[in-house]
Amino acid sequence: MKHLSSLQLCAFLDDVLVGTPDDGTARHLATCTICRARYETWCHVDDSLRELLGQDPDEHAMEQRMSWVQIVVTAERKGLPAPEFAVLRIALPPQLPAPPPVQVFPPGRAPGFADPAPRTTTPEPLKRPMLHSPILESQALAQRASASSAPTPAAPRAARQPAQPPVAAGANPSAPPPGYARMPRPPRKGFAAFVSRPGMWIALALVAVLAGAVPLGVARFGIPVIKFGFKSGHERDADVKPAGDEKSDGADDAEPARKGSAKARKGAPDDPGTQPDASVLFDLPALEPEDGEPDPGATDAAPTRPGKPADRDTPARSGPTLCGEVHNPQGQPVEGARVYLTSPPRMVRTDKSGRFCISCPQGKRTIRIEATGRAPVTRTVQMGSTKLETRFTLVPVN
Amino acid sequence: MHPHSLRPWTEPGRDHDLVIAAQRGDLAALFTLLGAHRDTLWRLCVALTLDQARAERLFHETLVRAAKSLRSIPADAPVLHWLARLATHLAVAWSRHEGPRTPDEPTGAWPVTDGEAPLFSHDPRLLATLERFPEPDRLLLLLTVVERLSYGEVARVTKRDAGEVVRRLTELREQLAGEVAA
Repeated sequence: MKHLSSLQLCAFLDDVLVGTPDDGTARHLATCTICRARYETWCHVDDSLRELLGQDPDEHAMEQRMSWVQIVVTAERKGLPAPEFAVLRIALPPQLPAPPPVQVFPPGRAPGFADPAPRTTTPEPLKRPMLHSPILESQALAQRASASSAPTPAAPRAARQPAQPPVAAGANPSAPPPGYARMPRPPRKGFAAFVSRPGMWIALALVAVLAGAVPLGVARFGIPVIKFGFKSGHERDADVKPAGDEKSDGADDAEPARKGSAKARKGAPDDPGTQPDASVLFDLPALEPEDGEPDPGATDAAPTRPGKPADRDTPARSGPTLCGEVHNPQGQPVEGARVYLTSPPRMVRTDKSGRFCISCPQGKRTIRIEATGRAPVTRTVQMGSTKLETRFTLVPVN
Repeated sequence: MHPHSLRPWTEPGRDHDLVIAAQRGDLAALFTLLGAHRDTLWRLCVALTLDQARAERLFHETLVRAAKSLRSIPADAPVLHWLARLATHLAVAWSRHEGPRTPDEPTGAWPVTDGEAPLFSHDPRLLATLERFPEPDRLLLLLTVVERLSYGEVARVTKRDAGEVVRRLTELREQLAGEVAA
């Protein structure tokens, strides 16, 4: 009897044989003990291989392995350095034995432990972030007071009752105790925020002070006038001072002088009391009329102020004064002759009687007399501290 | 028809859409494709390395290499064939580079929490015999005995001749039976 070959046995084992070969092999294995023992050994090996190599992996472990692959592949797709497998595969720590179940006992009833020492004071309340509040501070004081009156250690445990929250003196007992600190109020808005600003109140006070001080200042000092350095022609004319009013100064004489100057420009009336004084004192050189032009100032010899005749011989001020008379060779007075003082530059005109009077500082001064149709005369005088009287004679020009 | 012919080893067109999407850069399709064959590939890696720690490393490296080499997946064959060959090449390369596992080398037993039983805790003689076999021979035994593929399927996966597959498979079984019977 011929035994089965290894190829026949392997093919029969893998179910590759079909038809007559498969049936013949099966009949031989049923009758041949040697081939059947060999076949059984091979079957045992296959079963062992399937048992060893055919195990289905753990689902959780496979999920973890796939996650490692996803990490590496995703990192490589993004161009990042992929972690090594040794970094990813971290051995899990050995599982520790489960701890014994926890037995829960009521407070102070656990076996094997002595009764803990009773508390002598009430437990401290939980500390919360608190703000300064009179209500809370009073409550804290009341709690300290109640702590001192806590039950003694000798009191039985059952007699202990949870301490009631003390009520502050003057507080409403029915009101719920404040559990949390009072929160700061939200910031005000609108008109309330505008009113609550201290700067606004300061500004209002300043406005009120100014509103009361301005009328008082106007009533006391008047409305302030802003003056500039430039003066127009008519404003300079307003500054003309009458020659006979030199000893008076200030704003009191400004208005009459201005009136007198205006009247002198218009032409003097016959009334000598109201005629403006032609011999006025100019601080600046005045415009002189041309030869042959009527000189309105020559007719103004009257004093400026009515009721106050001009006193040519009286020094205008306390300083020295140069006075004199201008005559022609026949001894008649020359009216309207121009009297110049070189230093300081001043000019006056003679009146109808040919007299003039000009304020002149002390020292050596030069005076020049001019008149239309007459030769000018120049003379140097030594001015003292008092009045100086001189006489001039103007000779007609041929 | 072979009762196991419907398994992923013999369904060439089942992963076609996923392969195309993965080749276009779809990571979700790639992970779906790899996850569909993870259990089979894991058994293959265990058979090739005969060590749980090495099997884990081979499994990880095979999938990473597969993600990098998506363009080389053949269109007329199941993806699992390509993955099996890739894992075998890696295992052979590592075996040549690192040598066989030494007796002092830790076997990398699974943690208890993983829920997997330790390998080869049944018959140490069978384990010792399998360790002497080269990786392609272990692949033959796995595909034939465990995966129950036909000789033709095994020949296509390993790209070897069918007669050679049968002849080598017979030799391996004889050696294993001789070791177990002794």
